[in-house]
Amino acid sequence: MNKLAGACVVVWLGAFAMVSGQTAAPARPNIVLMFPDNLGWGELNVYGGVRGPITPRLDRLAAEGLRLNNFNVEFSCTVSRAALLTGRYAIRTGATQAGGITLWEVTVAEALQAAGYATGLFGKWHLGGDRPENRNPSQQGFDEYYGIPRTSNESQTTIAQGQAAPNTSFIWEGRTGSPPRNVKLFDLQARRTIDRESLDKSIDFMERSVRDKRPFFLYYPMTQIHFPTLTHPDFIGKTGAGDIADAMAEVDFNVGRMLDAIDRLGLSRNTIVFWCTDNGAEGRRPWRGSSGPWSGFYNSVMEGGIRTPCLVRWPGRIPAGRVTNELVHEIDFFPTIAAAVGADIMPHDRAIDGINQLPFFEGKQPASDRESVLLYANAQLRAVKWHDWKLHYVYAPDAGGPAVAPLMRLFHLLSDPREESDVKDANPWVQSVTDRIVNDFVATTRRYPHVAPNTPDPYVPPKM
Amino acid sequence: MKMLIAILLLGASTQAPADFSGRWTLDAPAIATTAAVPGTPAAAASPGDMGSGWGSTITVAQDAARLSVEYAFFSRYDAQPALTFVYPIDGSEGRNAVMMGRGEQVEVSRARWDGQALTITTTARIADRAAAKPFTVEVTRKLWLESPTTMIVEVTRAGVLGGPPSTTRSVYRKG
Repeated sequence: MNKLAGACVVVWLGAFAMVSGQTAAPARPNIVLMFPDNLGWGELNVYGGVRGPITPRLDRLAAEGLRLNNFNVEFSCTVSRAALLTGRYAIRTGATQAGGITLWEVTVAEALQAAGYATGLFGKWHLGGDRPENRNPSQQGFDEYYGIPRTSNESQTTIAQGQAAPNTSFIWEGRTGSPPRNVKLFDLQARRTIDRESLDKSIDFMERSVRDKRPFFLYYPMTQIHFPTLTHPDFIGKTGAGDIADAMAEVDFNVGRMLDAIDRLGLSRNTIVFWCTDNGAEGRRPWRGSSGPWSGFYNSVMEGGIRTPCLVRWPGRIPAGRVTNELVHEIDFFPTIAAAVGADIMPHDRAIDGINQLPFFEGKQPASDRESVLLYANAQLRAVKWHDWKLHYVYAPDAGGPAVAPLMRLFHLLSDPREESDVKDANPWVQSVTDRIVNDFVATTRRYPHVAPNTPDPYVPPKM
Repeated sequence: MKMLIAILLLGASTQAPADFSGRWTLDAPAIATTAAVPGTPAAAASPGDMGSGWGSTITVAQDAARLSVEYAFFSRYDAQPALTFVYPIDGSEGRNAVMMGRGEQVEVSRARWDGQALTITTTARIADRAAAKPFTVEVTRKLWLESPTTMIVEVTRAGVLGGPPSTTRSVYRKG
């Protein structure tokens, strides 16, 4: 956040603090957001995974909360994290791997921090671009952080993104008011242990927050099962089903430890647990993941690239064991968390695409208020989902691959989950609906223009 | 001169309707004649790729009473017959039904000649769980021969549920 935007947020959240200080509100919930990497639908037993019974804790988490079967994300790592944390489609933020997002963006961490929450990130950042020290988590609302600035594959070469020389990729840490500090080289050995280390620090963060009697927002962006899918030494060969299965067993173990810690600290009933993944299945051999019933992998907008498992638990508030096929998107988390916190912590000076899903999650309404999802691949609108329909404007089924004619293809995802049978000839009317959705979105950009990709700080939105 | 004009008018009024019979192959991706969705590279990249709604290679049969369009939609493995749509061209109403895996979809069509162009207006009643109540959709296809070996199919899909209409023009070559 830049100084000007920061001042605005301070004023706006100061007003919130005054209001909240005048009322004896119930204890504000803690938020734990676990966000593994490149983990496809087909990796969890509760979602039909076939690598053996390797995810008992995740399966139990699903039973204890809400399982979303139509949870949508952006198609790739950085844009997904941008959307998750800002509540905005990433296209609006100008997010790129090389540039990250501008400090003008207001993240959910920033909003919660200003509302009095302790905020911590332990794991993967990847929103700082090639110069993450200039766009680090503490500048986007995290009191403290530990993990990797960018992404796991740097461990294969130890060459940081944007650099040419080895030994430039590090695990880092930092706190509000201090610059980041490199802790150790991020090599293959460190790659194996980073999630365990991040979990240990996550638990310590929760314990300290409890001691300090502060509500907290804990963001645990796990690095598994992104390539190279190399596990903690405790999990090498653990399942006998290969590296991905071993990594899933590690993910499950770490989730279990997190949940056990929440229980041990007596926080279960006042902690919302989100577990979902940043994009679809890892597609790169030899660590090719499973997209379950869907086609495609991450870096495509096929369902296998953008529909991921998502579990939400809040005992006493979100009914246990519910399964839904209603549309939900990761951008909905920010406004949903805002509603759960019970405060107006959303920024009002920009377009927010997220929808408050709390009434739906709590079972107070039968359906999600989300009717559509826009699916961009970087700057290109590839497809629009409208309920069970999906119209590809540019059909490019392979991750990073070319568009394939006919470019416009229509699929009905309930009757054709693998997007194989183009039914636009029989249902051409759907285009009218999706065009309307696109037009509505484009109309908002006239008032709130997109931040251009790789925009430097400080960003100041144009006066419209 | 008056006699010449009279002969020409008589000739025009008695000219046989265009005959679209034959095997036609889409020449190039269809072109949208409606405005591209503003600000979306997708629209620029794929103008009018919704096509004619009849596939890329079609066989048209025509007599005085009807015009039929047949095209292969399914693969050989699917073991399904080609899709065939029959349209009365004598002003009466026709019905076609397709099975695309979501029950039988019935559409009603009526055609009219406008000079040498044939306009087929097709409506269908849609009951989709995404919409609060059933609604009617309309697709209008206008066919004409630009030359004996070039057929144009211009399709206008009416707007539904608050959305805009769109129009696509497909060029088919004979053979």
